[in-house]
Amino acid sequence: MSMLVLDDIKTYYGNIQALKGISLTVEPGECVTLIGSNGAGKSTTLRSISGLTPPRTGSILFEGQEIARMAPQDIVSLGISQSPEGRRCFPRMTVAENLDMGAYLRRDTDVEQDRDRVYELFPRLEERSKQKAGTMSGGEQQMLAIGRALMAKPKLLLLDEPSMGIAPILVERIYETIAEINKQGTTILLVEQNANFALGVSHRAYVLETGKVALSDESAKLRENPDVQKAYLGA
Amino acid sequence: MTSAMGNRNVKIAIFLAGLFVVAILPLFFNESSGFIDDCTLALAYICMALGLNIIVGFAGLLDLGYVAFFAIGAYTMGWFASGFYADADIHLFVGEFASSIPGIHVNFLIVLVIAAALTTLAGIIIGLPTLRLRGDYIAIVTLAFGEIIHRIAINGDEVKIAEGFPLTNGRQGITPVDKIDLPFLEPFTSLNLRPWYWVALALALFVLFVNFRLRDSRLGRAWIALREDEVAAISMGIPAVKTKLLAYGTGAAFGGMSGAFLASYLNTVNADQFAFSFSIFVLAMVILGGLGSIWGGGRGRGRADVHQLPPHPRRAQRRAEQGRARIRPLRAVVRHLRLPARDHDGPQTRRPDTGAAPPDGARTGHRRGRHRARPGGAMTDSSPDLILDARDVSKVFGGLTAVGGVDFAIPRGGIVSLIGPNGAGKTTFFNMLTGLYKPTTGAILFDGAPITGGRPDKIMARGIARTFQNIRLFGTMSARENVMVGEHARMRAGLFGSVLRTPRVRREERHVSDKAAEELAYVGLAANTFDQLAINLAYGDQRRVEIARALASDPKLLLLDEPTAGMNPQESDELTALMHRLRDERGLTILLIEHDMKVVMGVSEYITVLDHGEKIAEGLPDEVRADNRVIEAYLGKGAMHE
Repeated sequence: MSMLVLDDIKTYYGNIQALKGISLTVEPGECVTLIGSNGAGKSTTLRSISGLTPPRTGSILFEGQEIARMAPQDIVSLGISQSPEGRRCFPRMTVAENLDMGAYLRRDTDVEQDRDRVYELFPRLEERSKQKAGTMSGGEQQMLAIGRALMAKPKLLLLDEPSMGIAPILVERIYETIAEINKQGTTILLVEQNANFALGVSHRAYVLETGKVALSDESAKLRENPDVQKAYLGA
Repeated sequence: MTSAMGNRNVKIAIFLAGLFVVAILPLFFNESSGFIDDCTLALAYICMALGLNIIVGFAGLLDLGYVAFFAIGAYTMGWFASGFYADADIHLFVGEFASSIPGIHVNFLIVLVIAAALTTLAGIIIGLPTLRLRGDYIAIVTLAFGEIIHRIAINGDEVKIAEGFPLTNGRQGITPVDKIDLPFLEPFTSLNLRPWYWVALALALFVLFVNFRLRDSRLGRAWIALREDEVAAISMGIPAVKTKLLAYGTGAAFGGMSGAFLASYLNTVNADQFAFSFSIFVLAMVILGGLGSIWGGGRGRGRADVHQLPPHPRRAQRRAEQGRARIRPLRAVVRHLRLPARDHDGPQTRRPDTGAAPPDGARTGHRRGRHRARPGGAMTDSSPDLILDARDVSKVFGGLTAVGGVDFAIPRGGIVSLIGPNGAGKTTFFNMLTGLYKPTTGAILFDGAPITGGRPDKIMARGIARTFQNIRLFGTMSARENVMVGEHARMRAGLFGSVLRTPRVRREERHVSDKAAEELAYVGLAANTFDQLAINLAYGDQRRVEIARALASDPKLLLLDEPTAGMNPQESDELTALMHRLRDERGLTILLIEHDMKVVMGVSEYITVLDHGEKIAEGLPDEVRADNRVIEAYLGKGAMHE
């Protein structure tokens, strides 16, 4: 059974239709990426899944359960967590508190261990663990947002532009980490402008254009596709 | 376009039909019926709510003491139109009855104007020190102001302006207050309430009209911009205190006029009318009606009065569907109820700027820095082809040095980049150039003149515009309106011009709106998105709008903070091309913070690398790319082949 199945979802902002019928699947253990121009609907697709902007029509099945009409916090409790676009850290909480908020719904005892793992991943966060998140630089906040999403120990991790605002040296680290998390069994749905990295780390990819799926294939094949190269790889 | 025009005509027709019904309503009821009484009071309260809407809804200043303006307006009527000061004998344009009794009796319309003037004055006096504060402080200070006026009203009978002229009549109230008696009209009486109703309706329509005119004006946009994001607003050249003061004064004036009317209508001015709960009552009207929504004031009146019916389920549903855009105004309130959120783009202090005292050690450092600069003549011998020359600039927060003694210069017409690891101090440096932070030490010359520690709106007006790393558009405004805010400093329309919409103001609006569209097209935004709400645009498009907003002020120097974040390679290429065009076609100088090395290497003529607040390298792109320290700290081995 597929872990996540989107069937013809249509999502609106006010009366502007952002998604014009998106269908896609994510299998357990996969890393799938969405690429496309600005306004293609990549972030909106993630927001629809996490319940932040629920679709008006269509269905979203997560492990066989319909979640299209669920509240965001209930969706998190099922095992989906998101690192949202634009960071959205809690500015007046410390870094450590922000990370703890990621684990808010967890009942198990491995939270400490996972926090150490996040610190290992981003040593800068450990250095600043007592600092208020709002006083950190943009890139540091981006690290925190990813770390916070990981703290939920999700089955499905939604990452919205994890490399945005990150120094080149760290972009590599982040992608190594994404590959690592995926290898350890977390299913990942990734939205990324940096298609080079995204196609490198993912198994399959969907190309979105103006709210629809224009193309989908294995990532390795899409990398060879001349149209994709021209439009999204900056070749 | 034609359908939009048709739509507008339909709306006007509906409004006129509604107005007609409202206007003839009293004719269907008995002259002294309780219903007309209720409606008259409702209309007077709507005036206040619409006045408060300018303060709270438009400008986002949470005023918990609006009752003070009601009180001042009412007392103005009490002082100038009653027999209270029986020793005086002043009669100005009043009817026979009022002329025949002692006291000060001035014509209703004149008192209305005096009330508006006095409340505006009170608004300015209380606002001048208060409006420098933010959200929660304004709430507390205005609350106290309301309470102080209430106390003064209660005890004012002990306060003698002169012998025989007490300030108020305490709890006994000033009674009777003159009823309206206008030339050519029958004197108003409490037996026939219809004329009162019509006067209240006229007042309400007037305030409504002003609200509408201001909403779509230079000033209205500035208020909403300040409400949405104060840091971005002042960076766009909006003087925060002055602009807020205008909102406060205008809103106060309507409270005063409404209060003066009520004093005459209720025939008394009694200290007990001015309790704190009344402020909350008017505020509830504004909030339940939807902040910043003009019709809301009226709708809210219905709601507040019917003891808060729960929101209609369909309305709640509609809100949910409309998504972020509709819910947003409520956030303005929420924002007031918490401490000001600070993020990296903004200053750390409560005040938007510069007044924040640096730590003691830092302050002496500052002096030393200046001292050092002068004897060497460094302030004056700046080379003329440098548009920006920053010397020994540092910024210390608490004990943390974010930027430490950086020298940095930009040649006129150049495109230079500032790169470095996350947290290296790049954005902090930007914030010092634009005046959001006051440098702890050092001096910054722009175009040959010092701008060190100047106010952001003034620096903007001199020709430095910026975009923000964490996009800071005004979410409840359209893309076009956002860009129009960028032109604020270059526009001239004032309060009265905007309300009257003089030909000059109209021309200016049209010109600015066209220019905004031009800028949006220039940065590559699709024409059908110009009038969409900014927050509904895709991330990359929001970045374009930010650039257009910065361009709208016709800057000489453009600071771009990670403009390609959220753009795909093709869009980044377009942006690179745009930067070249800006320089070549418009003669702009560009300073870029960016992590996309393809963009940085493709566009920069010179690159400076910061790490831990210090310059670790600078030079031509190829030199920097090959610098070992830069590779180690920032680029990583993989970036070599980009």
